[in-house]
Amino acid sequence: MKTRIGIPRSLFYYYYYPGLKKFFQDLGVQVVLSPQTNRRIIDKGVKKAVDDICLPIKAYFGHIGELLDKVDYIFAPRFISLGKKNFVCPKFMGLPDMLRAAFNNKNLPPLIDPDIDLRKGIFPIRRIAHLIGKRLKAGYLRVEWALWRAIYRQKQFEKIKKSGHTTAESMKILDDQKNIKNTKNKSLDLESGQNKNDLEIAVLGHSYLIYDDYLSMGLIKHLKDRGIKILTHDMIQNNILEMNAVKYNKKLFWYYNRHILGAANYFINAKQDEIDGLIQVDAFGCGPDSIINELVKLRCKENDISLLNVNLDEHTGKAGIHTRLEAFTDLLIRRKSG
Amino acid sequence: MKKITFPHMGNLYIAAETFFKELGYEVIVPPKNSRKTLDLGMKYSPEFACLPLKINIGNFIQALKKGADTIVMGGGVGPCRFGYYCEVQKGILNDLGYDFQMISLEPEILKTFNNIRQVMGGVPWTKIYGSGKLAWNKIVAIDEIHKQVLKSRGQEQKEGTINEIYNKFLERIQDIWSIRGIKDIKNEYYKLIKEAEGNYKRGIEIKVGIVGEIYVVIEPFTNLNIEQKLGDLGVTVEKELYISHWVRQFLKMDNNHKEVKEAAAPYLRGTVGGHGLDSVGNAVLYAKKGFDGVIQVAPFTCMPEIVAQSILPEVNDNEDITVLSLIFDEHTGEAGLKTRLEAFVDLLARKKKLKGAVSSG
Repeated sequence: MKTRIGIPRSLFYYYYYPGLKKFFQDLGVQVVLSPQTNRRIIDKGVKKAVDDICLPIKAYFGHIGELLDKVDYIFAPRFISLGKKNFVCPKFMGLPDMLRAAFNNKNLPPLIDPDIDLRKGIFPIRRIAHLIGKRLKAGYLRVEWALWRAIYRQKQFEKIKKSGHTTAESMKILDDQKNIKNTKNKSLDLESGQNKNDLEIAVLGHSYLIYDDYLSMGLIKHLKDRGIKILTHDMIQNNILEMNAVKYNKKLFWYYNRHILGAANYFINAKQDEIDGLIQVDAFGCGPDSIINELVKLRCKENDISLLNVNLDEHTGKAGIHTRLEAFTDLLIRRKSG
Repeated sequence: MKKITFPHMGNLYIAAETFFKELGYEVIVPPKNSRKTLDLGMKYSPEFACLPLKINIGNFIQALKKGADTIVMGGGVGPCRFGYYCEVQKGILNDLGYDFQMISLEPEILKTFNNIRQVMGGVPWTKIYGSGKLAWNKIVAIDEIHKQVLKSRGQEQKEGTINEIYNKFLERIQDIWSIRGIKDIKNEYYKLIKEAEGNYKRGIEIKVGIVGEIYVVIEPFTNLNIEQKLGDLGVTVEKELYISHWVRQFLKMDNNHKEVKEAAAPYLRGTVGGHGLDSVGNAVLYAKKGFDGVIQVAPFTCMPEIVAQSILPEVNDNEDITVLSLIFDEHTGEAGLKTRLEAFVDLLARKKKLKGAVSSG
């Protein structure tokens, strides 16, 4: 029987899953993905994690709990940095250690927890890949081969995202190999056909929050169903994000938040006329967001842009969020029609 | 003439005031942290920001109202939120309509020097060095006395005497302007504290280490004066986080960090920003030194400390030490804290007595 490796459908899944899946498959390992987030997963996570920790991490703990007896290994990397002079959120830096403390060591399948520290360039990725390969008993050449195929796959994924698709859509397109060639022509037309009221809203928030249908209470889907065009930070080229993030402030040191701040600055300053409103989605207890949101709020106030702040926790009710979204979009429509 | 102000953090104001006054600037020390400071901060800060940011905002508003026009603030390059405080605080205060200049000290030495230059203008380097040295000596002396106070409070002869001595010391050191004088006053008060010592209030020595987020550890207003509460319960308190320690770390002159890192390694593999790693490492070290308990203090939603808080129960299980995590926010009540501390100390005392009975019998 093949070795099974578990990947939680949470946090880094939303950024790197296509590449990771390719990598492990090419190493000859079976990838087991935890199910979509649901009530049971959240309950499990809430039980295992500390009270004050943010919602996505609670969900992550729940996802790990789902995988416990279904796999031989769990992939739970320790993110430290994803580029020069930056970090990720401190909680990402302690993930595997927190898991070991929360789940008794005996219950937990062995963790594959490489340190991902790219402060000195992207070359450590190759070393990390070989470390993982060794743990999974794959040959040297096989790891090389798998790594390059994985990187190619990840690049394709990024490309599809940047052409204006949400993460979920991009993954679907990527799975349906034939579609890849057609995406260029199609790009944004996919949704514009049903664009009823010409509204364009930018949704700001971590990918693992806004694309998780359960955590975000189906926010993206709800807006799309109402015929609203959505823009998120991962549809914008990385260099534009980086440029806009450092343009107005001291350089922010959290990688993902810098992209979100960059997107916010980009939408507010460069795309002011195209965007009708901003929706900020953050989770209860998220440290970086609490700081960034204030800056975005102040900037929206200066530039007279409508902003809705949605704070999510494990008790948030779907109806409440949807009412707020509807009120906000109605307001935008009225504002637009003068 | 620039009117300089800075945020409160324990006794930092004594050193900062000395430094800038010695250079010939006017210093406006914000009023001591109080409910009013916190209320001001809470009103204008983002809801989910951590407690220090809110208190800082309160400090700044009170100082700006008193006429300050330059704020000196610490900076950082992450991953703790503190590194980005200055940017957000600038935004908030500008939005409120205050006119001021903000200078953030970054932990890169060159940048810090440039920033200091920016404030100082034409002041020669030798003078900066001189006043820096004086301020540094003051802060080290204060921290040394503080350390002794924490040790002796649990065994004072008459309740309140050591507090009196300590407050008098803080008052007097503010007006001393020579390194020689600082040394003398330190020795004098060290002796006074030693003389005030007597027997342990509980009959046995109970040793508790305090770890956690540095601002809450150092600032008595935020931790509801937990050190004194413990001392009054007859506990010998020790902690590693002092302002001098913070300055050393800030300037990357910290020596014993390797030891802490090694102690934490079985539980936490590497830094998580702030003092998360120190909390875990020091808890393990305290266990090895034979302490009875460790109390972790942190502000609500503090990211590095949440990681440490998740891991400390494992330390509690594997090492011979009892850990209590206390999270502070703007609503923490005095009575609740006192009850919990009393229960914790009773538990430690009982455990110790039982252990003694087993080993002797």
